[in-house]
Amino acid sequence: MKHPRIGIPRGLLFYSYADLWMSFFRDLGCEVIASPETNAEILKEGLRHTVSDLCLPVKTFLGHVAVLKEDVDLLFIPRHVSMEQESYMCPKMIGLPDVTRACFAHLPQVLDPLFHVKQFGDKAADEFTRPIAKALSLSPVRTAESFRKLMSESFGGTAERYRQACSVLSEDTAVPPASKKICIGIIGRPYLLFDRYLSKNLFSFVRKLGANPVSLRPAETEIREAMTIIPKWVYWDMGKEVVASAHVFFKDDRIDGVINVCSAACGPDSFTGDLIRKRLNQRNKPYMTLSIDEHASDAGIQTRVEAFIDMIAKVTA
Amino acid sequence: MRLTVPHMGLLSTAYTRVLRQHGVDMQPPPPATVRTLDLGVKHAPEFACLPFKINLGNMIEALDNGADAILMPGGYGPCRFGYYGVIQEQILRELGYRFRMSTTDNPDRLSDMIGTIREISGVRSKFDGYSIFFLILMRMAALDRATALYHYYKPRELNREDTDRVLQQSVRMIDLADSYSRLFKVMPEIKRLFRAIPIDETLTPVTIGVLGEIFVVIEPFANFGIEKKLGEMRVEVRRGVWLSDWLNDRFRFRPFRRNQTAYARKLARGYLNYPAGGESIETVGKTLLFQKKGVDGVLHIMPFTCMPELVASTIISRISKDRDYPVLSMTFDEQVSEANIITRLEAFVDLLERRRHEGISRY
Repeated sequence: MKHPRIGIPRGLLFYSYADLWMSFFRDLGCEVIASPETNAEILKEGLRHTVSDLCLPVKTFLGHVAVLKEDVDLLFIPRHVSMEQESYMCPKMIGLPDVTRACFAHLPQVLDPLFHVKQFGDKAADEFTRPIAKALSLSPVRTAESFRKLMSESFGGTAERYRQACSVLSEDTAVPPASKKICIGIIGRPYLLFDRYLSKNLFSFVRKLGANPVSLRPAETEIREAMTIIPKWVYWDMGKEVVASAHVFFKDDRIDGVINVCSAACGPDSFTGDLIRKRLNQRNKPYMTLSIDEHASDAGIQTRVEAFIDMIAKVTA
Repeated sequence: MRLTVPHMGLLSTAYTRVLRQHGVDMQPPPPATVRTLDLGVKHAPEFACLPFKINLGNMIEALDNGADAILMPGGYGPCRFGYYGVIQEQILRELGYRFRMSTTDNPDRLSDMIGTIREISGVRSKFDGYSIFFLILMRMAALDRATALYHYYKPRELNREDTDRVLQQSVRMIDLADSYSRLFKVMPEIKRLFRAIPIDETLTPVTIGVLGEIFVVIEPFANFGIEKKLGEMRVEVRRGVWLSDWLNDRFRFRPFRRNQTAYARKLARGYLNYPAGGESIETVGKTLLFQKKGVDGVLHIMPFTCMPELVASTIISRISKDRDYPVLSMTFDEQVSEANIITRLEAFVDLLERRRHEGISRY
């Protein structure tokens, strides 16, 4: 296929690797389109196509597939199994291409390359690009090279560094400035935090209340440090990052309170949430879990956030 | 040190006596009851899965009964099971219990398992460690064999509860068979016992393949004794996941038994191309296998919020549509009521009987 239109649903790992994926396909001479930002219509489509009680982000992802599928020749839904040695993605991410195929009767061809560092080590990038090269009838060597080049330009090259390739997709997040405002550390999975529709515009709402929302992507050293406090290495790639950013926020004096945003019935978060609350919050900072599902209303979320910030304001005053 | 291990189906029957003989002071948790579940639910994180909650309840009850050490298998995998031990330990310490917690962090590696056995028992030599471990596995396989016989005879029995009595007797016999030679002697006897049950030979019962998350499938408390209920509805159960298979896939103690995970992976190709942890690949692969073999329908059971099985249940509902094959997915948690389960099962069995009557399904 020469110059096919490739569609990437704006959901789940898109919020972590969009830049990398988009520039990779553009370098290969393809036209790439992403679905629009999540809206009520997309979520409704997602709910219509889901057959079981999957979590909200996956349902939303399927909604994005539904609005995208008619307009593209190829759907890019990579299968991420592990991003480094000793880690795994959540099972729903591992099965994502198959789940997508199962939920739709008619789909364009699904491109589902496997990214599995635990199995392939440094060769993971080659394994990842091989099926892409095949589907686009390109040279596998050249495709792998171009992928590696993209990775190394920004992130040092090895397959392990792929994880770092994340580009935070929201201008909302800032490093804590030395201001008098209340600083709220917001932790959670990128695909929930930075999807403005799903997180009910949490960042701008916090700002509207006169506080400073802060979020971060923990560095490798911070992850390692956080893992020394808890008894066992957290083996979910994203769970690990949530735990590490919680640790950073709890340690940081400039942060006044922490909000953990997770989707209802999220498997890994049900466990890491417990760890964060009991192990990491040693200084007893205000901490709140906001769990979001398709029934969550703006008002409900906003009331809780407002109350949380009011409480902090009272304590600090 | 009084050691306790949370229940999982008949597993505790397989190891308790053997380990006791080698100097381990075993204190199995009392059989799970509603109280066990209540304790687990009370202290577990809200969205933790059902096996976690029942295990936690087991631990609390065993500690109350005087145990002071817990062995909880761990591991690193996409499923939450590998992280159970950490969270459970944290909860129990918070409740003020004092105990020693050991986990085997790599249950897939034989040396790790043998190491655990040598650590908890007085066994010194490596050879003895291996021999104990494989005896436990063989006992597990024997228990599974007896359960399979139960599945065959239960729907055909003429006198109610006959088969249940024989199963109980067989479990006791296997429990007492504490060496390889005794175990091999006891198996033909068990087969004789089952064969002696008066059965209705003319009956060709509806068959249902039972698949899903392994704990919920093999632990009668977690699934309201679903296999017995199906048997009473005159349904022959074909179970797709066995604990001994799970162990055999890892440790190859039965050289002539096919590696079930690898087999399921082959079968599932096209629907699920990569195992998504847990029993997801078995569920998908064996649904296809059961259909090919002419089993009338598949009952897929899983705990609420189970991640791998949610993937599998989405995929098998597609299989069901594509191939016009009856599949019923049921989710279990502390809220599920027995009446709900029975009603749905009855409706499903009625459907299968009608399909067979109308000649849609084979036989």
